[in-house]
Amino acid sequence: MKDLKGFINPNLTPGWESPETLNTWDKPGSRTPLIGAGNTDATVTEKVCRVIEGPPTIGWIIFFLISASALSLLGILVPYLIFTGVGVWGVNNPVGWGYAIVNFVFWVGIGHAGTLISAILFLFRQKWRTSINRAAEAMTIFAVICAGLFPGIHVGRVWFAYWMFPIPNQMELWPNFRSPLLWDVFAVGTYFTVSLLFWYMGMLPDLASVRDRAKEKIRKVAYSVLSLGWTGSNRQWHNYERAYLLLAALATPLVLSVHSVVSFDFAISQVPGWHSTIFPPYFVAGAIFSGFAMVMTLVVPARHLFGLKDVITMRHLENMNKIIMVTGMIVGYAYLVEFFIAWYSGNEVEKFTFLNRALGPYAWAYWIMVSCNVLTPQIFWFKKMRTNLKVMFIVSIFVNIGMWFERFVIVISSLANDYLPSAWDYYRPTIVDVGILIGSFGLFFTLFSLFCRFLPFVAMYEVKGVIAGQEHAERQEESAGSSTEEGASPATAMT
Amino acid sequence: MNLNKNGAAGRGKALWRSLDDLADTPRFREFVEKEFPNHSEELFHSTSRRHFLKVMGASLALAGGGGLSGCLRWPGQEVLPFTSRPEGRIPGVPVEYATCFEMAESVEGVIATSFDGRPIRVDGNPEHPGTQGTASAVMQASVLGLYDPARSTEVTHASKGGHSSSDWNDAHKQIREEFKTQVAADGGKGIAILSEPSSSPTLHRMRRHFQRVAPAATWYEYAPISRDSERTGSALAFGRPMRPHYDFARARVVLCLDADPLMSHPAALSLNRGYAASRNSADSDPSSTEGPSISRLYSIESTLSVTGSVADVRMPARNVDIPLIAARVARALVGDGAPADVAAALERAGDLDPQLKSLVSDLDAHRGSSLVIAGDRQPPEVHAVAHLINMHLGNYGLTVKYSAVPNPDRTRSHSDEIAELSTRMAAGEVDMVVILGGNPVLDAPADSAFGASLAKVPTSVRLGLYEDETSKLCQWHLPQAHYLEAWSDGRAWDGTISIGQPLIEPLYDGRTPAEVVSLVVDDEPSNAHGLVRATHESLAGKIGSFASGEEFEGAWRRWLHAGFIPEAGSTLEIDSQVRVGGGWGAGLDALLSAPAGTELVFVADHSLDDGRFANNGWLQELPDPITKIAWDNAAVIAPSKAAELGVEMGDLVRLETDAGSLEMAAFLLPGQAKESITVAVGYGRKIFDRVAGGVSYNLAEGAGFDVYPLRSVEAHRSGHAAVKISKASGSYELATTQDHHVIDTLQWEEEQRRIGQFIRVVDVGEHPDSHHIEQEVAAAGPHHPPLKSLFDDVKYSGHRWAMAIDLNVCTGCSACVLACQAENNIAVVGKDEVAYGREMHWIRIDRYFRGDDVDNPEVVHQPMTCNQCENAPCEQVCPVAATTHNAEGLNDMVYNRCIGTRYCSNNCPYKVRRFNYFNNTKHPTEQEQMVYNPEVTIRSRGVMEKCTFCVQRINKAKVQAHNERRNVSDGEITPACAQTCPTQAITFGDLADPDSRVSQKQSSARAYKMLEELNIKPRTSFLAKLRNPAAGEEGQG
Repeated sequence: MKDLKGFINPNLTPGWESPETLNTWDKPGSRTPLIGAGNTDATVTEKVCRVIEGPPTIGWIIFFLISASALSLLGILVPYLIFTGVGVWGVNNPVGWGYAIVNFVFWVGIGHAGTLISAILFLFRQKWRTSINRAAEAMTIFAVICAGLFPGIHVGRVWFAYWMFPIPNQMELWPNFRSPLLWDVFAVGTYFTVSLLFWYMGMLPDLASVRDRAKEKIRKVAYSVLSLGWTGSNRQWHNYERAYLLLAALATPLVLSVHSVVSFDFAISQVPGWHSTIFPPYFVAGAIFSGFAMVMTLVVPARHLFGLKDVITMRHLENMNKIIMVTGMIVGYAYLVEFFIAWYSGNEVEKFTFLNRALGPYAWAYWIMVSCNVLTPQIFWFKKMRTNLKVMFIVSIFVNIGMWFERFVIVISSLANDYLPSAWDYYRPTIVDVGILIGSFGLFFTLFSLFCRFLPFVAMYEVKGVIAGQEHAERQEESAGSSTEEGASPATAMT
Repeated sequence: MNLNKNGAAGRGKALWRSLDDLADTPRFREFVEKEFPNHSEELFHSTSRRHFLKVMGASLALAGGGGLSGCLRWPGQEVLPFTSRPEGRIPGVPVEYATCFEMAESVEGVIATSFDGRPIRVDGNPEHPGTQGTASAVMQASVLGLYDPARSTEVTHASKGGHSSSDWNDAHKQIREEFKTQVAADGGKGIAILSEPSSSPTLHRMRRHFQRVAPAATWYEYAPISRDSERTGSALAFGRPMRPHYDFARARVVLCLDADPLMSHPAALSLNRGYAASRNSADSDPSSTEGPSISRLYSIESTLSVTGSVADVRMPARNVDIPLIAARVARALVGDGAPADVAAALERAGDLDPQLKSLVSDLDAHRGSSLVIAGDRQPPEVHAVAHLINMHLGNYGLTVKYSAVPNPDRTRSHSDEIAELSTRMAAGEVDMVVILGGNPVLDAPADSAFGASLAKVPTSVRLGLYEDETSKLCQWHLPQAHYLEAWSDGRAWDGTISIGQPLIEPLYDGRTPAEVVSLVVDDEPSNAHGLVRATHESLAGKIGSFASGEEFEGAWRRWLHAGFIPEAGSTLEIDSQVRVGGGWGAGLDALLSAPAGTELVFVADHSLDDGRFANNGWLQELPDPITKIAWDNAAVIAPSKAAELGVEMGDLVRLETDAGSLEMAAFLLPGQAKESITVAVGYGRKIFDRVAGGVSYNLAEGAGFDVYPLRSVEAHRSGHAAVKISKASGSYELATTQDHHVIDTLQWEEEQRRIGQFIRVVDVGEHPDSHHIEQEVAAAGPHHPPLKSLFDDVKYSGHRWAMAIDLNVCTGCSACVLACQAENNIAVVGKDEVAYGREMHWIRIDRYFRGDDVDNPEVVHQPMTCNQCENAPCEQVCPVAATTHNAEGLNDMVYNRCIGTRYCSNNCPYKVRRFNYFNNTKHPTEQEQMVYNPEVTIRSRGVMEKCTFCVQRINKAKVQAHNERRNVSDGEITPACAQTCPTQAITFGDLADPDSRVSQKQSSARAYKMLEELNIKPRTSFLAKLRNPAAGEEGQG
């Protein structure tokens, strides 16, 4: 970061900045480099591939073992659930959906950040996405796998869950196309498929790099197969970039649609507290919010462990923090609007539902949700906090907790006190509920740690593109600086 | 040797083994029997072709079944077809038989439905004057008792280390021997029989027979829930025991003094009909602008009873304070009109409380059409006061009639009898005791120490359905026949003689009390059929119940078919010459100064009665009509008292009476008198490890508290005891089906607001205007924008099934809940699951408290079941279309398509869908399976279920009508709930027929649809409740 000092306006920076936070400052008229200045194509390849080529670190082994034990909990509890019945959960008569659906919506929400980062930010030419998009997409895939687990196991007769798919069958029965649960099947299914393709396709050049560096036979064969014969020819690159753009365009509406459809599960019903037109945008904002928080939770330790600090720099993290703060406020605004509409609509049942959320038996959950989702991200107004690794890690954990509770509040408090007071009840989760929630985290982290070990954590070829752009800009600036001493116009500095 | 023995007509044996065989000599028979002990039968009787085919067919079937069973999942069963169908028997077509069910010294005429030889349902007998087709929850649940896995299966005899099995022959030989010895010695002075009170003429006959054979022996009678004070009270008033018969239909003003005639009365079913009539007259005519004329019901009681919950004006008071209240009312109404000593006592009662003034003037204004009823737990003097008021107001002969009691010879009360028997047993004066039914070791007063005394009796014999607490202390246990296995008889409350016939061979070779008396008394014991038939053969002559010349056999068959003796009518003579006499003034006077302090009132449980139904899963799971607790009893205390003690719902409290002490869970019930604590008896029995109803729930896991140890002889007599209550440490989980969690102020206020819309109540005078009612009912509904649907309205061309539920006459008794359970094979889930909110009842009764007065709230009941919405929210959200609409507007549930997402339940605003969280019918025993209704699928784990409007009955009627080339007529189809409802609050029918009863009801001024604003178009209408509070007491009640 030898030249970064030059970008910093001494009048603007307080004295607390560390070298790490330097690239979070902008010099008017020029671009701040995203990647540590010492990096070249070679160093990026070296840094990223080193992670998957060297022996596993102690830290990784410990993390993997913990995750795998949590996963084994899932392996025990899910068969137990299937063989005994969903009564092993705390679900009861008014509250027909419990932790399983809360977890489902939570994980689907988490799964939003990846595609948003890779597709939408790609279309908007946000170059800072390049260092984190691979990890975020991987997270998306794994989160959707976790999410997909729940609709399957939450039904009473798991062995017939496939009836939800429109498969031609001897019964000549089709699913009910009016049911949002069916839309869910399509929405989540499509999202998963497109995300997986997008992720895998985006990895091809990097897999080829790994293949080319591989020294052992098995490794070579495995990565050869995975990289689908990528040679890096001009023609391949040309087709590849086109296809990537197309897939990005295809994935973009899905980012918005999948959580909108998930929110229809609630909005289409007539349960007070569910039946609300605000749900689709509110759910999408919440999903992006929680997704970014989860990326943060994963990336902050990962860049440290894998020595990628100057590839995933503070500027990346700060940008994500800004998004977390904005989406957090959108979510907070949605909370307010729900209350406003409950009052403004004059619907007494609705009014009660929201007052009951904030003041009733589930008030504890509601206030956990509000304080985690609305209050904690406000700390990011301060740049010092926004660029503090410990703070952002803790906030991201809080947001994860808060967003889980948001789904808990929506699903459970609405059902527990709906129309008939005689049916009102209180939902108590069982140990199996909690175990399966922990198990789903186990599944997620196990998959993620395997990903870290075996697949390139950072999209190397995209980062290299950024470095190239960076160098180009620097050169231009240097030449401009030498020709006109007064300084280049900002417009020419932009590329 | 006559070689032609078998061949008189020249057709000897075709094949013979020897000359002896051919001649069939005794020597040959002996030889064969010795040689082939198991096959001698076949060797003597040549195999016919038919027999051969039968055996071969069976062998083949068995071989096939056995050979294939390795790859079959169902258990191998031996199925042998009838070679010829017995006359009148069509497989798969249920057969109904009339029989009778006895409880509380009175029988109810019932129709039991038998399917392929196994009784599956008990309903009211439509022709019987008492039931008229309706049935209580207990009556209907009795069929489950037949298949109770805990029933005793054999005769047992005490030996070292417990009871060992024996048989009836041994029992007869030994007991009879002992009896004969005793009688020969001293006329049987040391012999005692303890029976439950019974109305059975046969048992009465056997009792006389027993007394003749053993003149010095004593026959005792005991019931833990006794109606003695009614009997004694009428004896005080009239000089001899009389039985009052109330006519609610004629009464315009009714005062219940701690009485619950609509629930805890032997004639409750007919009283309910009268009550319904008095609340709904003239309602059926929608064209009349003059609205219904309805009666007014006052209730003064310590705990909220079913009757109290529907009273227009209710006043909580301690049990012990009610004599004073009654006396003051009597003083204001009767004054000097009473016999001198009574008048003096009334004078000392003092002036009327201000809040009773309108009651008194109301009663006064309705001479001849008012009615005062005293409850079983009130002392005899209060009953006498009630009789006095009724006589004075001229109600006699109009709203109340008196008849003789069927057994006037019994002079002592049950309390005295059990105390005396205990004392005599303890003193060693009893050498032989025969206990017929009952369970005195459990339910006898604690201070009588019945169990300890019983253990001292050298020969003790117990006839019982279960080998229970009492049997364990007896030498002999004899299995009793369930009433559906036995010949029996009895008198209904109004005196109608009913005859009970068995529907099934006794499952465990049980016998009836009358048979056991015969076993003890006679050398050749008679069977129940013979005994019952003989009784009626001899009675028939006396009562002239069949036309002369008619053979008894014909009459007997006719009676069995009817279930009662129609010609005999009420065999209790109505006495038209009763006068109230004096002599009880001092007794009344003594009651007027009630001791201060807290009282403990013992009541029969609405489900378990005195504990006899403790092992009946259906009844255990049936929520109490008032507290909504299932599987448990609790110390019911007033919220104000609880606040004083610092006790919350479910906290343990310590109760101390003169008989004993106990820690039990507290239940806070609004409307409970502050210094009164109510406990239901019959709970806390921990002796059976499997509850009838196919649930693997163990009573020992927690099923209430046994409060009998708190009850002394005196408490049995008076119904209550002084108690010291204090908070104990710890709490206990009570499983309720409503109010699962503590409701905060916000929720309470919202609940109140919603109840106003859901359960519309109109306060009316005696002659309300129907326009006024219509307006009030409409005004109570929520305001909503015009309703528009995304979907096209379905056009119905055929039937449109619908229901109308009249909240005005629903008393919350819960008979419908049980009817539905029995009809639709609804699973019993056990206490833990109920506590989780997973009970399976398809219909439930929502009970709400209205108003701010926690000490005396208004109570409303609302039966809630699937409303069969035309625009059903459940149908739209099911991803696999497992719940769909049929052409007649029913919301069908397709179990085998259901995958169990529970989305439909979430989206149901009435929350009437029920989910099988576990396999609730996992391991039914062979007997338990027998109770299932084969017309209704048993649901597996993981599927949703809900009310179908008894679609099996609809289809059956439609098929029948189709076969007979006619339309289904109105009233031909009745769902189980509507059929059984004692007040007929539920009407079912076809909306396509504008003249059907349901169409009429749905167009009534009182009709409204609940949650209509959701645009779900429910098919069920509710009919608003009418209240008739006394003038100037609006809002109080």
